[in-house]
Amino acid sequence: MAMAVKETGFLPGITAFVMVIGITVLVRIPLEKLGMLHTPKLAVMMIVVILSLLALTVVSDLSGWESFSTIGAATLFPIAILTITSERFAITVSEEGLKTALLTMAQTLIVMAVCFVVMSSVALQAIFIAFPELLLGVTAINLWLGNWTGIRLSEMVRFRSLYAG
Amino acid sequence: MPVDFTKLEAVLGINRRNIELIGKLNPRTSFPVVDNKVLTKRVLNGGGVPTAETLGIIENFTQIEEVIDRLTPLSEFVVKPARGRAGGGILLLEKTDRDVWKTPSGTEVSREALRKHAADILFGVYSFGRTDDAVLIEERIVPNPFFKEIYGNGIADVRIITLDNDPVVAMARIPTSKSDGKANIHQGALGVAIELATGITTHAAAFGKPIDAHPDTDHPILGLRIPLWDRIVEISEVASELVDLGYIGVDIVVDERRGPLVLELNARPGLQIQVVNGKGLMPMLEGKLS
Repeated sequence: MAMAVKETGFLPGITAFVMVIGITVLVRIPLEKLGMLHTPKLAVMMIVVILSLLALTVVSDLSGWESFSTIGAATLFPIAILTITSERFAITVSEEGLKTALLTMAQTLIVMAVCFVVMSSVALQAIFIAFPELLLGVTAINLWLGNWTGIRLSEMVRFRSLYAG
Repeated sequence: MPVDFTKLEAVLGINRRNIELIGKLNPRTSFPVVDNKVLTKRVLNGGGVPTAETLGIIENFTQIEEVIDRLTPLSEFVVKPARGRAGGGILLLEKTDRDVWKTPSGTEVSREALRKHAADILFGVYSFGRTDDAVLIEERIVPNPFFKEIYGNGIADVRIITLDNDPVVAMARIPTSKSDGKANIHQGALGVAIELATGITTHAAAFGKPIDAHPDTDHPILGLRIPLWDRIVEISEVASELVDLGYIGVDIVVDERRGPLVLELNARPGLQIQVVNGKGLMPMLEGKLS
């Protein structure tokens, strides 16, 4: 997702993401009433997603708000993944409630934003292009982390009642 | 907050569980059996482990009509996705006087709606898009009065984690109004730790916090003896011997009429059982971990 946002620019990407989720949740309500089967429903939702991204591009072009016209140029913007994400969001809403769904979405947005900031760093880009062997170091860190069997930071919070002195 | 490092080291984290328990003890080739309730039941019944009675299985779209026709005379039944997770897609249905069914919360389900639900399951809606999901229709479980007295709605179950076919830790999961009748701790069900040797409840937690009574009924939950405990432990051992998995969660319900029945097996049992127990799992596993 962060990769896609990198392609479109931060604000337009995030706007498109939130807009697509919002629109598909709305579109899903009448489709659900029609009692549609899963795959055709996904197809209809995907068409609505494409049309709304197209509309966003046209509107931004006409209004002269340049930054949003990049959405149309972003061929990598993973529309299919986005649609499936929206479908999962809607299922989470119906099964676990709007609060849980919004919390999950907020977490996604935060991770997207952090990855975007890191990936946009010119210094980082320059360092890794100049010294590509640094990627070996990154690989090493990942190999080490991949065998880390200790407690995660999030688990320190989750299991705090178990180790209070 | 002061930290007790001995207690902290006793806590099993998700990384250690994935690498040292699931990764080493649970071969991937054995996952398909436990991830599909139809296959699980076949293996369990073949080895003499009792499960809820199967009333019908729908594996493709052409069978939907025929199976629903057969269900029509029944007064109640349960519809499940064979590959569902965390209770998603499960419908408990009871016949009304008209030609519709209703769920425990009172929602009416027409024949049309049931047909659509079956099609959704086959389309993989509850199994992350897998197209080989099937619809499993079972008899409804009537919980043993012990559990009904604590909380009347939904069905409580007992989760036993086995390591190399030996039970290491156990808890009962009792639905609450927040969990909407589901025995899922993450959806708000009450977890009650059970001492393996005696079947007596020792500690409990709801929403990650210790508690000593059911949050809805105020029924005390500590110091109780789980009915038919020896039989529950026995079938958890037999069930884990029947699958080639070294670290599993065996979920058992106690039916009023038929006694303990295995509901499902889980090849990736969760870690919340530690919060329910009020202590980490590591010491319970260590004697047996090679």
